[in-house]
Amino acid sequence: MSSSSLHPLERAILRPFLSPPNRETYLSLPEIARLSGLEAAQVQMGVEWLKAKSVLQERVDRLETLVTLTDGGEEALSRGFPEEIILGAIADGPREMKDLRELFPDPSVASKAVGALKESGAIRIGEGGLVYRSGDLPDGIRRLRRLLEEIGGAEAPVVLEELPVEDRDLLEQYQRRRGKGKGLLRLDERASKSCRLSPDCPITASEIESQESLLGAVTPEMLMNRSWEGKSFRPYSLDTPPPRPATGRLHPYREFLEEVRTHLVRLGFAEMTGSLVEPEFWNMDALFIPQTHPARNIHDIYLLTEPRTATDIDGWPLEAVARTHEGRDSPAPTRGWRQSFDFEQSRRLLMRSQGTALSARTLAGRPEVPGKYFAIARCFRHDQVDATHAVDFFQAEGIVLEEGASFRMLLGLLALLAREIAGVDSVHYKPAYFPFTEPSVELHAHHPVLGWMELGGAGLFRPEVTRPLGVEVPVIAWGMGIDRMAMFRLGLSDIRDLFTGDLSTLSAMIRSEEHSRAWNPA
Amino acid sequence: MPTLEGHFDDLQELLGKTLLPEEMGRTLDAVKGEWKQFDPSTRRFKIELNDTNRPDLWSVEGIARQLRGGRPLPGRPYDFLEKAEIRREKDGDPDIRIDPSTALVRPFLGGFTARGGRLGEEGLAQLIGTQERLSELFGRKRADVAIGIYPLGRIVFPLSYRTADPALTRFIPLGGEREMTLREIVESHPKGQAYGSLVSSHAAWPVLSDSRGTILSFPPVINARSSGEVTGEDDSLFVEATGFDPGRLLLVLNILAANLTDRGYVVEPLMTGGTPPLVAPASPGILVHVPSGLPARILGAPNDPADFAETLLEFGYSQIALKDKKGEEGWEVLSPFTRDDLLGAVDVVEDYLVVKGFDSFAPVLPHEFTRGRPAPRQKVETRLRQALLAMGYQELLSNILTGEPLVSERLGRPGDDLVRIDNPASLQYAVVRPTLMSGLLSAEARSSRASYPHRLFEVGEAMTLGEGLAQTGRPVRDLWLLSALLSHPQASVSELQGVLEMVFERMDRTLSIRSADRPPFLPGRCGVYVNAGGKGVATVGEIHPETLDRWGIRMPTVCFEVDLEVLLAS
Repeated sequence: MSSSSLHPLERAILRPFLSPPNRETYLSLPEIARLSGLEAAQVQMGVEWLKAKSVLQERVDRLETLVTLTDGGEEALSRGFPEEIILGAIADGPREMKDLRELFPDPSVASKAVGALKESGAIRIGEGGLVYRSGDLPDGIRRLRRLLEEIGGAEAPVVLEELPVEDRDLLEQYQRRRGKGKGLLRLDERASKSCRLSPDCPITASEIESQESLLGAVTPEMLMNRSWEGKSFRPYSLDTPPPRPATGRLHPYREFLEEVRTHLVRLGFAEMTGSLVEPEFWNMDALFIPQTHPARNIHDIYLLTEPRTATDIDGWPLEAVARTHEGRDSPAPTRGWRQSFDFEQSRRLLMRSQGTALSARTLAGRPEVPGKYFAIARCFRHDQVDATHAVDFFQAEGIVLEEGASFRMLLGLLALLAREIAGVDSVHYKPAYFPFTEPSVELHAHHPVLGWMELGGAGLFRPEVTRPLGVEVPVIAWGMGIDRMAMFRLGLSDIRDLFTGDLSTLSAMIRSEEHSRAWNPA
Repeated sequence: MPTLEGHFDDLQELLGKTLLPEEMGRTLDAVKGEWKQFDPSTRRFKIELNDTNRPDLWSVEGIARQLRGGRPLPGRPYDFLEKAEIRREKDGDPDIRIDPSTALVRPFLGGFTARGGRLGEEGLAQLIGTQERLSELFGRKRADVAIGIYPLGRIVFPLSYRTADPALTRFIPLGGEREMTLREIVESHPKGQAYGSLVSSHAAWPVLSDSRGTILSFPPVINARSSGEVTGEDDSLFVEATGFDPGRLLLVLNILAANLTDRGYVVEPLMTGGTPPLVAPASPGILVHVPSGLPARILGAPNDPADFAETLLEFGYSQIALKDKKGEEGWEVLSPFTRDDLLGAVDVVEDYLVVKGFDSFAPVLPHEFTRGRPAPRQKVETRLRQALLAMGYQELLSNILTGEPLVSERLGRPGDDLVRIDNPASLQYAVVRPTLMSGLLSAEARSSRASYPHRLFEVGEAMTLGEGLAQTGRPVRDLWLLSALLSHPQASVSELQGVLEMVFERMDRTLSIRSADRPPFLPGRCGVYVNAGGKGVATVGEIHPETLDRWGIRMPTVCFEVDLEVLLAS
């Protein structure tokens, strides 16, 4: 151990130890602070460094108890102690015990406080159980308040053992009476320590002093006037934890969505966008969802107060869609839903409930053939919000228009998406039902940790969807629940956290994302 | 989606085959069902059924029937279909007379009798569950279809379905103790309160009574106590359904007749009067033409025509014949009598693919090359997000629906232009956000413990009401916004202005600032950047301490918001 690598803080701490009478003595941390002229925090830091270098040895002298206020304590100070609340409540006249109990969420608190006040003579219980005021707040409570205020206002935590005996008794008594878990105070044990020089430490006082001539930080002046020439620089300990810069971060969920977007663009999909508000026509009717379908009642969709209906209906293939629903003269060979089509309902505006609305608009807008389109669309669901239901969420979906698009191609595309986007190889295709596709399939994937899970739904659009919109080629349609994939990646169990405004939850999400990425560089 | 509860042994018995609980997930692929729950000690299970268009599968009997390939159980033939043909040909007096006055209220009623079976406890529970699902989900809370089931014992045919005066017609309803008028039932009986609104707007209400004039029920509300409640021991039953669409009634009655046949009952169709008369149960005779090339075209691989026909017969289709339609070669397929979901040829082809098993097809990739591209808007967002990231800002993502006070009172702004949800599930999510600033302020309010400075931003969609004409009302206008917030002990407008101007520079836009007075900013410390045309692009300013106080923020805070649409157009 060379003394040349000592930090000025370390040298200041060592100086008192190196004067002859102290060479073998233990000095407590406050003593070191006094002798070195350093702040307590500086001493603590320097002693840690010197311990790590085996220059100083430490021993525990005794245990101290640090006293701080709990949230309950803060609350008692601002709301008042039960005894104070009760005396306050009967200041203008007696009250029944039952009323007093109602002042507290836990009635047993009232009973205990009344007992204590009765004992001290501050109250008496008269005829009919009425509680009268008969004296002042007990001295103990008053002293307790003063004491708690002191503890709450202190700069550094108060050491229990350094308090006068009567204060200590008072705190202990009250703490016991309140019972566990309702404490006003938090007691933390801390060791009071002292240090001495290690017996085999070779550092001498003169060595310490000689170091004073070593150069510290390189300064522009030093470089300008070359004052460093012929001198030595003090080595720095680079193993001390450095301060870290505050950095900006992109939102991890948004980053996940960008990743999905990049994959889809790479696979040849062009992005579709649209308004958050859609008429039922594009959100439902054009997708051949019957007008009486349960997903269309007001408990499943969000309607607008103003405006209620769409006015820009120019260019909508309303007639062809209506005939298809009714099953008469449809451009597609179908029996239809055999119920009359309500044009008013078709114009009703709602918050987009599925991204497929964008696919319907794309199909009706002379899409490219061959063509692939996708959307990562914010959608809205009429649900009580909880850990698995968010009020709005993202859906990824897409369509493939191709002369030879087929069910086998749909399966191939789904396997590709599962591999590229979700990183899973083992899939199962489960028959499914959606009003707008036939055949319909659910994609189930085997996740190494979560087991089999549903990744998305897909199918070939029914001719009842494509023909009225003017599309003659078969169209593959798929949708994926990307929220769930993101939750797994980000280590979340509550979907609401995806849209959290809590910066600490966000940091945890970022760390989890970094962790999963570090282990899966792909 | 309907959920079904049942007993595993009951299912196996109806299937005539042993099943393994651990294989049920895949077994149910054929009925688009999910094996949700199984308790090995009670052997009870729950199945969720995904096909909202196949009510025939919403019962244990129905699932077992589909898994049997639609075939009847040995010795329990679905011979009521032939009996229905005979009954129709025989004509004669109807078993149930219909009074024309029902035409306006609830015009159709069909029914049948079932004798000689035994439900037992499990069968009864299934029958009631099926009735419930059919009338609540398929029948849309009895509005389209309501079902009545009665012990046959005390009923004397022919029956009569007519309308009656709600104030004068009385009987003891099931679950009641005394005679009540129809109106009293609707006003005070729980079933009357639940379903009375389906008839209460009419002057006369429907009743079904037998030949002695005894009232059997008040469709679609409740049965009479006198006809009794069905028990597991009843060996003969009368089943009827009422509604507006004879096709739907027939479907429901066919399903119930098949289910009861599976339980050992012999079903006898009844004829209801009218033009034409309604005989139920009976084959609805739904024919679908499948062009012969379609299966191969949909699958994307050649298939064996003989295999197509055979496979469908094994899946419960009763008839498949080669037949041309309008010169197009193909098959004519007769739908199974319990199904009404075949709208066109694609539905038949899907059934074929389901039986073959989706996992059995070799997947192929799309053949054609297409050009992938993100939306132009995404490129702009990426640029902006990178710029703010480089300046040390943390990105947020918030819900688009929010509570009205957060975007009006709390910001000191009027709520006149808010896009409101008419039927919110919660007041917390009752308006579409018109600004991203409230999301940033909410985050700041929750984050006083995180070390300062706080630099937050969000880019995304919002919405407001635009200018409109008096006749058409105000249209919704989609907004595309970027907002940022800066909060620390020395936070100042100029610090954030610097950030904002870097953003403009990044987008290669030069804008001039004018002072403005806009909540939630401090007057004199708020400015609006305008483009060459004088149009506002961005607002920046220090948040008024009064506003900070409303949010519970105890740190100097500045914000800006950019209208990206206007910025790009500038």
